[in-house]
Amino acid sequence: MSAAAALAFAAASAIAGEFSLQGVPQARMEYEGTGFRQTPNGWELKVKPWTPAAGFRWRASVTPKLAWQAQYWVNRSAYFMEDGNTQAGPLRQTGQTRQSLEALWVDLRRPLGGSSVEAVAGVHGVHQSFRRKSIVFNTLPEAETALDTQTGAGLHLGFHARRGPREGRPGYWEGEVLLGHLVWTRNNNPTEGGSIHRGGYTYAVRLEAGRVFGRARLGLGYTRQLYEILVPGGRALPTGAAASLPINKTDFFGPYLSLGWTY
Amino acid sequence: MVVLGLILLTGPWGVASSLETGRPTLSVTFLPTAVLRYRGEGKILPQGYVNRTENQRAPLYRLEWRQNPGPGGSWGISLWHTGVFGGGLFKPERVPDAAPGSTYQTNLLNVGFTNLFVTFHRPLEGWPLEAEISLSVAREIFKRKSFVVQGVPAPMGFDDVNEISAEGIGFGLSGRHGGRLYLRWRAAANYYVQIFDAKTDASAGQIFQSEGGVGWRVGRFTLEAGGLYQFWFILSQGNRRLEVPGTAGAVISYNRQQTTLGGAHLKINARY
Repeated sequence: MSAAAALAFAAASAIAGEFSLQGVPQARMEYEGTGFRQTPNGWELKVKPWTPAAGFRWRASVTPKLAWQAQYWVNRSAYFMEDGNTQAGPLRQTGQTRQSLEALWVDLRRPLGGSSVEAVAGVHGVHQSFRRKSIVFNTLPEAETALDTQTGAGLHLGFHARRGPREGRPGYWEGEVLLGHLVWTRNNNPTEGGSIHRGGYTYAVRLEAGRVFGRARLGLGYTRQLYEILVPGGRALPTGAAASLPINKTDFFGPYLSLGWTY
Repeated sequence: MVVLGLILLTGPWGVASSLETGRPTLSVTFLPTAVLRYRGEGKILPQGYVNRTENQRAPLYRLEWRQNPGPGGSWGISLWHTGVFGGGLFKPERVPDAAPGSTYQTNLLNVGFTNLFVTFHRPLEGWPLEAEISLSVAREIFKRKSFVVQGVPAPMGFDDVNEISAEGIGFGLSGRHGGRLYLRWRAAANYYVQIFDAKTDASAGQIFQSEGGVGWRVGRFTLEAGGLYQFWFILSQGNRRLEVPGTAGAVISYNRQQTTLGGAHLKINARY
């Protein structure tokens, strides 16, 4: 079945479609991990990386009234300061964390009856990792480093609207809103003891406008994505510092540049 | 599933949709043996806490009204409810203490909800499917009683009710395939914020619903049987305790909560 689907997609892609490379010069990411921990101290970790990100979007027509689209995003990870929840007294965790995020959204799109607005249904996957070092917990330096990874797969529904260039007007705009639910999640360091550790939810919003130059397009857009991944986290390092948490929320957003062409 | 979907969409049986009915409909969906599973995680200084709950029997009732469907779309309203008044049961809840294996608190808990969805349905071009966009108000209700905190029973009559509410927007997709005998399915994802709870994180949660069933049409009525599943994750301020003399207080709210509900359903539609 997957081979047939791949063949169908390949055939469709050869007929008509468009491909865009997208770059975010300074994508903003905000991560917040909360929930159960093996040790009772502390409660949440936050890191806010601000690094470039990039992706592509590939859309092709299957029939005149049916299209599919794949959208992929990845950030360039780098170490940023992570701060744990401060509590009464000196309880606190700080450190350096490198968060990487990859997300792939693949879906089918069909217009509503009598409208150019498309209904969207598809699947998506997300993978993120956290490399933690230079951890200090309650003024105690932690000798160990930690690698925490989380993966999720889900379904999404949404709507997409666009207006292409018309006679004498080379501009275009398009936008989409997708809401997703993660049906499967896993992490590399499962821990017993928490209570919320399955499922999750996502969204992806994208707005883009630009100008068409023949088969090429140059656009400016904005994307905002949320990945809330629930896993059996909560692992603690020897000092009591958190190496992972079960409720993981990552916001990814920023303006992007899009360079595309139709074929 | 993909093959089944393609068969349903492209086959000759993929022609019946609600557009055929030509009248407004009123329907009642009942899940008499639905099971609700609730999990909470929160914080009380200086330590975080989680709960342990048993699955609850939680009969679910859904009342729906749907405008006369048309090619340009139609409106509908649905009200979902489960709780003690509908036959929901109290089940034990336990809050572990910081020391491994110890218990801070036990009590009985019933989780219910009353959720209202206002939905616009519009058919897809050439397929017997409908896309949905909805606005909703969701309200989750927690009833607790029979508290024992740090080994100290609460006074007689000591109980608590607290609620979380959120407002959301949702997208859905549904299909109905067949004629007198039909197959119906639906999936919807709703994203929530909490307009009246400014101290709670802006990302307030999600309700995801999926359902499917087989029905039979007789005159103006249809009778359908199938299954329904709902996933609900929501944030709240949490971190509240009630005073129980001689203790550090009874835990009555959490910051992160997950509630799932599922079961077999019966649905009756009436066109009028």
